[in-house]
Amino acid sequence: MRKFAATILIVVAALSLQMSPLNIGEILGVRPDLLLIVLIYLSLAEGRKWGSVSGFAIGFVQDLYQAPDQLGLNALIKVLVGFFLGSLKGRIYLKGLSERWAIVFAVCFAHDLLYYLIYFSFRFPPFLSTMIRFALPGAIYSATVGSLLFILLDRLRMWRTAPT
Amino acid sequence: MQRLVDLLVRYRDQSLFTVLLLASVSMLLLREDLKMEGARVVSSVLFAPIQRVVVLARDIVDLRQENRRLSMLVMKLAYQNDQLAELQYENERLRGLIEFKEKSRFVVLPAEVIGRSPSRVSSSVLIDRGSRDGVERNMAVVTAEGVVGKTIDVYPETALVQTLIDRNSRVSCVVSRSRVVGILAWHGGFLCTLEMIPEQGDVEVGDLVVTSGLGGVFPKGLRVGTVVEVGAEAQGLFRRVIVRVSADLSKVEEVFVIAGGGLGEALELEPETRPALSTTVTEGEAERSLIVEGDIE
Repeated sequence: MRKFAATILIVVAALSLQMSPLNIGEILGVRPDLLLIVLIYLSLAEGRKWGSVSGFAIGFVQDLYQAPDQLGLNALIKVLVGFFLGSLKGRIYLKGLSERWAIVFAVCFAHDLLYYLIYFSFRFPPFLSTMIRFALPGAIYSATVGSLLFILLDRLRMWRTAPT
Repeated sequence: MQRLVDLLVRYRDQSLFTVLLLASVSMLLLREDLKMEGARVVSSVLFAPIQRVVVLARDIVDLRQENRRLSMLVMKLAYQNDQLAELQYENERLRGLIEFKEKSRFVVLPAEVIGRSPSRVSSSVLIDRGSRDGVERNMAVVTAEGVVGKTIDVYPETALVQTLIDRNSRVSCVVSRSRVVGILAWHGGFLCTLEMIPEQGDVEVGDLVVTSGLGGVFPKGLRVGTVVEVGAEAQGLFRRVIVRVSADLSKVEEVFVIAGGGLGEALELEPETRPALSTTVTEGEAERSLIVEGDIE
């Protein structure tokens, strides 16, 4: 119960920050993808069941809030991310900052690649422009924020899994 | 049947993944009106309270700073008010003399941005005005800098605004200097392209682009952006015209919804002139409506 409540709390906090009109942490129009960072962490820490369920929930909420014509797109990609990262639970150990940075960067970039490819219906000029303008710097930014945020989430995880 | 249940239990992670995957794909394949309806219901129930909490927190933090700024502004405005009263008297006297036609008034509603698309390509924003305030679908949304977009979905207390950098946005515009008409569409990033400009069309870098008033949504003469690049398209039939939008769509916080008096009509403003905003102040003032004045064609 504590684990579930803490997970909901983390997701709602990330969602509120991401949706905030304050543009928290925005640099030159690029923001870190907090929801994806949380999903990466949850999937690697909890496995593929939690990964795919969290991915679907986060993606679905994101879809609802965005332009409704994209309903299902975020959910689809985040389910894939959650499941495949969850499958890596116990196989990779992210102890160092550089390892965490690398995995968050790779996942963010792959996520955006897939997302914008479908979003732009394989039309390459806007796809490439968005990848260069937003996805690449976004992945670098998210990886930097994410690798630091993982330390905080580690502590929170210790609290939520502690015996009551 | 028992065998199927056993299989599902044994591979429950994979089964769950498959179900969620199918659910996502099914949503993607839904008809657009069903998606809109679903998003409308959930957004109004789920997001509006969260956004209100976020806005409230921001308001508390900004209150002290805002108070100081407003005190300074009151002093400045009181001085300007005296000057304006003098000018208004003079204006009325002169208008009577040369028999100017009565100027029509153009009502706009101030609104606050309470949410934006979590996607890093900000294609839409949520504002705190809805159908209860008189907002309807396809109303123009502007800032003092220029056009932001139009309302595409209206809820009782909020409305979703499609910005100029949404991939589905199309706005009929005109180059203010040469009066060449084109269709503004998103190009990528914070740039738009002015489409359907003929090869011989007179467009130069630095030209101001304003709304043409032809689409029936945006009144004529609202500032949209500035031409930053002109070239030839590969096919050679049209010119490639890139426009940087005037409003800072990544940071927009307060907007105005053009809520009446203008649809189907056109504002006649000098292209270089921004709409002049003036607050209608009444005794025991509760209304926040603003008036934009301009000639009606």
